[in-house]
Amino acid sequence: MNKAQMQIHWIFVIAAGSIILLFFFGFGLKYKDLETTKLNVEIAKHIGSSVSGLKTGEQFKTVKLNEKTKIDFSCDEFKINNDFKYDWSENIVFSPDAINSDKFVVWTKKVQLPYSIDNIVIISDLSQKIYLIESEFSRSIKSLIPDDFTNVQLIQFDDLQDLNFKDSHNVKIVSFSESNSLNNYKNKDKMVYIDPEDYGRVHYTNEDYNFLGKSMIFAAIFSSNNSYSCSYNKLIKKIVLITDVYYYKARYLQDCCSNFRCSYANVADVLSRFSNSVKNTDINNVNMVKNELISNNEDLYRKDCKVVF
Amino acid sequence: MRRGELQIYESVLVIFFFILMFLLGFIFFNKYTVDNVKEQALKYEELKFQELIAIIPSMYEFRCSFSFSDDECIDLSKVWAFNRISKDYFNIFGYKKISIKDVYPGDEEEILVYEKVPRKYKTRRIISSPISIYNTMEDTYHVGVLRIEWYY
Repeated sequence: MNKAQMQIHWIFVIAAGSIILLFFFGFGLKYKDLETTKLNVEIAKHIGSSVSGLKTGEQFKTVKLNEKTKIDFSCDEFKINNDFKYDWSENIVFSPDAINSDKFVVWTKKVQLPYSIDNIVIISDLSQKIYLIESEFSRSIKSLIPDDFTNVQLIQFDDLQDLNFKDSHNVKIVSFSESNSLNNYKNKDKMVYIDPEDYGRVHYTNEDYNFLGKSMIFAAIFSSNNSYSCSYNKLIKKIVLITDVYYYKARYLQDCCSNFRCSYANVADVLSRFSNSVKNTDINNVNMVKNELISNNEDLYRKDCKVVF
Repeated sequence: MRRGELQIYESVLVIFFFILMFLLGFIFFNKYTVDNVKEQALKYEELKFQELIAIIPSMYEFRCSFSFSDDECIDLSKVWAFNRISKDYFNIFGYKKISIKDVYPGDEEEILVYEKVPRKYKTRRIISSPISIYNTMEDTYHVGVLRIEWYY
């Protein structure tokens, strides 16, 4: 073999060797990706089925994962480790924007307005510290939060200034009174004011939303601004849909079962007004019409008629 | 042909053969990967389908409610009412047919809850589960079967 032939021979060996190496390297990478995706799918299925199981009633559970996992929540889905998206558009989920942990708490709370609307899903990252500024209202709220939420703590407003917020990105402050001015606090996007009532206003730094009932107060405590805004709209749509079901049920009862004693026309009319008030997010009117609905339904019960809800 | 030229042709042929083998290997592996992901997606859809049988009876759209308390049964008057708005539930139910059969002491009458069948589908799966149903008109409880058909 002369020198030129030897060179060609070596070029060939290098080229062929590189191709083989590249192939095995590519194969290895692809295989790793596949295994990672499979693992992410399993994690997503585990979270999805845990939530579905809880949704049948008002329950809570600490979901434990085998390893630290990054979960990005959006309105209709969550994403595991920036890889696998799990669709759960059927659920109304109030959560932080993201969790990077191996455990978190899921709590399902019934929204009743005045009839049951849905069991909303509240998710809390245990590594996020949530301080409720102490007041009579916040104490009553704290007493209703399950013990599994170890990250929730009552704090005196004056003590808040003494806290060292080194890890302030993972701290949230909830106040039930706007007289607690938190203007000096640097990370304003982690603050939320909630009216100390059964219905009212949730005030995030730049945006205001409404809440209807205690369940939504818990939702505001644990969720991010984005999550609250989106899931609130989903909940409003759900209230309208369930109200429509009761409206048609009232009309059905009017056709099948009304008599001189039991009339359902009035309830149907109130339900229609209730639906409009909810759509217009006129919460004062929602509360008024809600009370009217309750009295109409109780009236039917007193008259020994079939109730609508 | 000289010996040197022959060796070059031989080398080119070997490289071509290698590349062909690698390409084939890569295509097969890619197909395996895609099939695997598809299988995972189908398993995930199947899990969601099976969960529906437990979710539907607990949905407040159908569940019995009397004076603000919810009961473990399906209210037929609510099912009738739901039929009017069922088109808004496509994002939850998708391509499915959901029905309830009044088994005892009824006449096996099928009550449609939701139906959206695609024009074309490869196969369908059916699951069913016994449930308690409440007939508002007669004020009676019956034994029923909840049946879900999934088209895919």
